[in-house]
Amino acid sequence: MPKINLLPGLFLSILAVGTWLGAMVLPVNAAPPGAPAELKVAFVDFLSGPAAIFGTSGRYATEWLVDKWNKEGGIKGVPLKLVILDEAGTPAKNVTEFRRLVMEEKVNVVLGFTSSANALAIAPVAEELKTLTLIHVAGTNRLTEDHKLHYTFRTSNHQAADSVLLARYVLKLKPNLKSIAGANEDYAWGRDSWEAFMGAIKTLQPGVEVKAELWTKIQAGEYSAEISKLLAARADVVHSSFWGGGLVTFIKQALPRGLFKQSLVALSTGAQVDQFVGKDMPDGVVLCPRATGAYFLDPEPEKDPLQKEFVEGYHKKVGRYPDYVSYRGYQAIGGMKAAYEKAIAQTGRWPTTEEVIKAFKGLTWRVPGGDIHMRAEDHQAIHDGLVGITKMSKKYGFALMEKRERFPGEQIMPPVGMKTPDWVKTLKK
Amino acid sequence: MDIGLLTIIIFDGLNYAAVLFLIAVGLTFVYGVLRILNISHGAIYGLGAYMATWLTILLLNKGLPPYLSYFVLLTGAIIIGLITGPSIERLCLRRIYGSDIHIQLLLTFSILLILDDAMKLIWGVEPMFMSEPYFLLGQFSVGGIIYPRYTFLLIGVSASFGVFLVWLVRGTRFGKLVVSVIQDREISVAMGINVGLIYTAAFTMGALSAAIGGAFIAPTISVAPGFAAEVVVMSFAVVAIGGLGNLEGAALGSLIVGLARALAIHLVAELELAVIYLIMVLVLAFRPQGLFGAVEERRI
Amino acid sequence: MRPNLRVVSIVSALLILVPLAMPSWVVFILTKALFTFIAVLGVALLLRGGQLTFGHALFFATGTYTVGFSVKWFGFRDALLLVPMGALTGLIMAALVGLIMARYRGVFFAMLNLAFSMILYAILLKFYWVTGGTDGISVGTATFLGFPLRAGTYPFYYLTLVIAGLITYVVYRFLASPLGYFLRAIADNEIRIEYSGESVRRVIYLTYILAGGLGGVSGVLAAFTVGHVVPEDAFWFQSGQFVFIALLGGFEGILGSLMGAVAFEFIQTYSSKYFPYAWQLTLGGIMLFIILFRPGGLWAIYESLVSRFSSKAEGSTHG
Repeated sequence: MPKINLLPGLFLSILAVGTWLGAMVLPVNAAPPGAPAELKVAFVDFLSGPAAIFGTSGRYATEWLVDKWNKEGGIKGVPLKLVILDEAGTPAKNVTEFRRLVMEEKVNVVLGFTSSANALAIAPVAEELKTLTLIHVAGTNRLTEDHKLHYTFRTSNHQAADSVLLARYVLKLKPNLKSIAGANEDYAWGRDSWEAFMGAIKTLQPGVEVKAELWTKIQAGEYSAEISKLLAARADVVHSSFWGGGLVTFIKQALPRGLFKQSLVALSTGAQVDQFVGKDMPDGVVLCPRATGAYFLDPEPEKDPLQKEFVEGYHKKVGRYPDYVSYRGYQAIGGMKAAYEKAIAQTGRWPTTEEVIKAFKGLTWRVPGGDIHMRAEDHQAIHDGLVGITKMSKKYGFALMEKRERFPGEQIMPPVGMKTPDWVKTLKK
Repeated sequence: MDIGLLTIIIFDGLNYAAVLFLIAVGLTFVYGVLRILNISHGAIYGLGAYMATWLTILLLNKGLPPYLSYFVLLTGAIIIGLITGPSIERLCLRRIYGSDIHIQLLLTFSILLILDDAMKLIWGVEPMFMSEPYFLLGQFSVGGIIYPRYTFLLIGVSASFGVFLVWLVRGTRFGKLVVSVIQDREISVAMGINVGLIYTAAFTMGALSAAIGGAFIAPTISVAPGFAAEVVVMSFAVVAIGGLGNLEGAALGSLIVGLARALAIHLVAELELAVIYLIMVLVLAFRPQGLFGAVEERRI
Repeated sequence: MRPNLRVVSIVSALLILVPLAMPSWVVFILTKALFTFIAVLGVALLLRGGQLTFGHALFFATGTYTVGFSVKWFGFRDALLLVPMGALTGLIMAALVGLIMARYRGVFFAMLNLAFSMILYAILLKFYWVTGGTDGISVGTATFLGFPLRAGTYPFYYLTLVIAGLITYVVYRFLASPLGYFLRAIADNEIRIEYSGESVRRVIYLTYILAGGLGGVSGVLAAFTVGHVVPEDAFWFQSGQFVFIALLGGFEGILGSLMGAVAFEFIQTYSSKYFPYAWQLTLGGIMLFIILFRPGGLWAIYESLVSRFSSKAEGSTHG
């Protein structure tokens, strides 16, 4: 029996097994030094009550993105873990829940807050607890204009953009505009929106008369007397910043009473509800997706790979098309990821919160529909905004936002250091 | 104030009063018979709205002719009334008649909490929309302002339920039994009246009022968790203003509250809500038995 | 009513020592439980006199907005001055409202209280430019003689504990006074009190004022703990919760209110964490059980346990 030399074979086998094991153990994306096992991110939005049709859009977009990224290796090998929380309730309740997220759940980042009242309440607590907090939707300009923020960022345009977009678009449709009326919710968002819209109209078209100003409770759901008052006012244009289920109800209550025939109605969040109002939506209503730079048809999915991937993936997951809340959810968590990656590149290890904040200032990141830029001075993002008018679509079964116009962020957002009420006075035709 | 505005205010007020009356009349009826202020009334209102909406959407999707949706609304309300009424009365309230008022109020408050979450668990937490019955009837014009004819239906349903209850109490044998139970429970028992059954029936009538109110308001709103919280406390105000336990009082109370609110919305919007409770305080302070209520003897 | 020194020292020791071993989140919940306890004490006092209020949030919100307006108008947020201020505004509010209230009993007392609290709610909600409406007012971090006092930290907790201790003593003295004895007698028989020469109205009025002051103090501490005040502080649901806790604990002993408040805060926090849409169901179910089977609340459960224990040990019944 010839003696077989086992050594080379053994050596080769060990090498092969070792390589294989090594490949298994070491991830493709080697995590930077100091990386945690996971990055815990809280997402807070309205998930129950009338506003749930709004909040779930943000939630689904965020979940879709996190799933996708985790399959691709998370942030440089660190997977993301989402903690989902319902925003329904008072600002006081949200402040308490925020404390719980930070103190008990020990989340690294908090994303969310749709209600301006909640965002204004959360920001001081986020600063107190030194927690990176990204406001994804809430629109009151006062969040970034009246507060010196360090740990809090807003990853989308504030309401000045929607109000100015609407004012410019409405004046284009009705150059002889004589009178306006407004129905808005009686809290920061509604109050600030109406003030900016009215201010912009008065600057661009001096002499316009304000016929009625109505204030309802947030997500009131019963508007019969308010609609009577709007009908009696007979204004050329009716402005409303109602949103979510409240807006759907308002449209359904106002429709049979002829408000949409009597006045040109301009809705600053209108593009978000057209999939819920469905075939009842009248044509010729001015809509704004809160001055967001993307609509599920704009840019055309075939021309923008990010948009195509998102619209198709979202529709497959949710059964409806992404609306502006979905896009703003994308903007927030997309910004967070970009900031972490920039900070990792700058430091060569897993960054501290302070280093992420430093990286976030002045950051520009890409989302479907274009770039978002985070201003370093006031932690306020700016980006393009869209506006259009409804036209029923047989193909989709709901009204689409047609005759779209795109405005660059610099034209619709006040510059750093200038407050919205002052800025709208300086607008030029 | 010009005539046009006055007409609008009256119409808005009536519309509002109709809904409030539907809820309040049941609350006051239950108090009148059982001497219990039923806080869970609001949850039954919510359940009525949910059931009616869910049933109507289900049947419309199965090809139900839209004109039948009004009967579906009513059916949904009756189902809820007949389920919640007897079960709450028999299982819970029966054990606490004659207890201290805080026990009674807290028991019904607990039922409110339970039913509030039950709605979320059964029908989910996202809003439901169903507006076919609202659109179907078309509209009419008053003083140049268009109203949906559905407003008439609401006022009609509300008024007929009120008339029905009054007839039930004043014109039927059941009513005589109810009155005798209210007047003297012990004698009624001695006379062989099944007081337990009367209580169950009366509470069920109350539950029906709330459920019908919810069912018929549902097509005009988005049905979502928490939508009942404010209406309920307003119906308390209505009942207190009209006089606890008094049917006509509930009618007057709802008219006052409805018109006062409409007046405030059109003239001083900030007072929309406060005016209701100001009236409540004034009435309770100067005529605690309510505008219609009879003075009660002081019990020793 | 004799203070059971052993119970008092055990409870005090627990409240002082246990938080030291707890994470900041539990300290935060305990702080909430303590300020809730203070408001519930007021509700429980009135319940002892046979009076149910469904509007105690009136005084709680008076307290929270005392802080809210102090911060909004003067930028002043020092607890040393604002806690007595809250007591004062609560007392004044109760002294005014109580003038009407002391004439009523039973369901009218409950409803009139509800009406007054809802007026405050409506005003806080609707006068946006004064009150901030639905937005409420952000209070920020409290200070104590200029030093920051953050919610969820030991200094804040122990300050709340000291205040709660002082208030417990005041309430105890009140209950041990002739007035306190008359108060309990009202629940049994009002006419007899009038025969004895004491005015029922005066007893209820003074109790009402004390309860209002407690509501105010509770509101101030709540504003600082949460960091934000909202109109819902005055809403009927808040009042309902106070009554709920008073009965959960049982209002026959001061300790009952404390047990009720601690139990409520923990049940609410953890059931809303694990069952976000069923926490009210949990609370309602517990309450239903207590009303139908253990009407004296946690206090009665505790007492029956103690008496069973002590009768076994000493062969005597617990008084």
